[in-house]
Amino acid sequence: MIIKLSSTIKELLGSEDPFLQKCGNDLKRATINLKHKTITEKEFISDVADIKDLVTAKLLEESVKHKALLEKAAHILENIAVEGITGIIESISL
Amino acid sequence: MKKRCYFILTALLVLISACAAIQISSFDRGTYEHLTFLKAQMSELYSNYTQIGIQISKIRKMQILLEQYAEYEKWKPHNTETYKQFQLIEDMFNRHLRERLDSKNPWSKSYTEHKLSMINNLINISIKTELHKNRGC
Repeated sequence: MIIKLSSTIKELLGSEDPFLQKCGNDLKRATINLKHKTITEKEFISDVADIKDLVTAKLLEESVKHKALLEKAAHILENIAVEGITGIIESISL
Repeated sequence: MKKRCYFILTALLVLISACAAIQISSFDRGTYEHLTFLKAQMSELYSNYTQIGIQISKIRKMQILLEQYAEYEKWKPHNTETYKQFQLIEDMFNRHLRERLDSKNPWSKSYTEHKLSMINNLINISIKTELHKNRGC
């Protein structure tokens, strides 16, 4: 999961789409904040759930661009939001 | 002659079925107004999350409004995407509310602004979706 989260953040940041870049930045900020204990794990999960909702809403738009990346991100974020990520965030490098 | 009539009839049936299959969602001014109204109301409501006490009556009003707007979208033809987006707004609002109610202390100003920006971004996506719909003649 950690590898998937890390690579998804990098893919989102590397895209040319402003929406995807914003999602990548939000996710990166939440991950770093959790790593530095500026936010709690509960707040991190809440942020992940928010970003997942934004991605899901975007996927509902007609003729959405970068559909495959959005679907991949939604799937990973859903797993994190549901399962939690106790401890594993420590080893993430961004 | 009989064969020709049968062919024309079949072609007509295919044409009618194809036309019926085309699902065009139309721009609805009502939906646009609901979304812009919600956005303005959210700002006011979220500012209360920095206070010690939460005004439950205002929150309940918002929950009823969200349910009402989602119901309005539910029954419009070819409107699955907007209906689902309204459900996402409702889910996010209720999740933020639960989080605030579970929190022993009021939210900080920066955290409140962060959460408000998340729900506003979600409403913006729905506004954009509505504006991109067919406006008809």
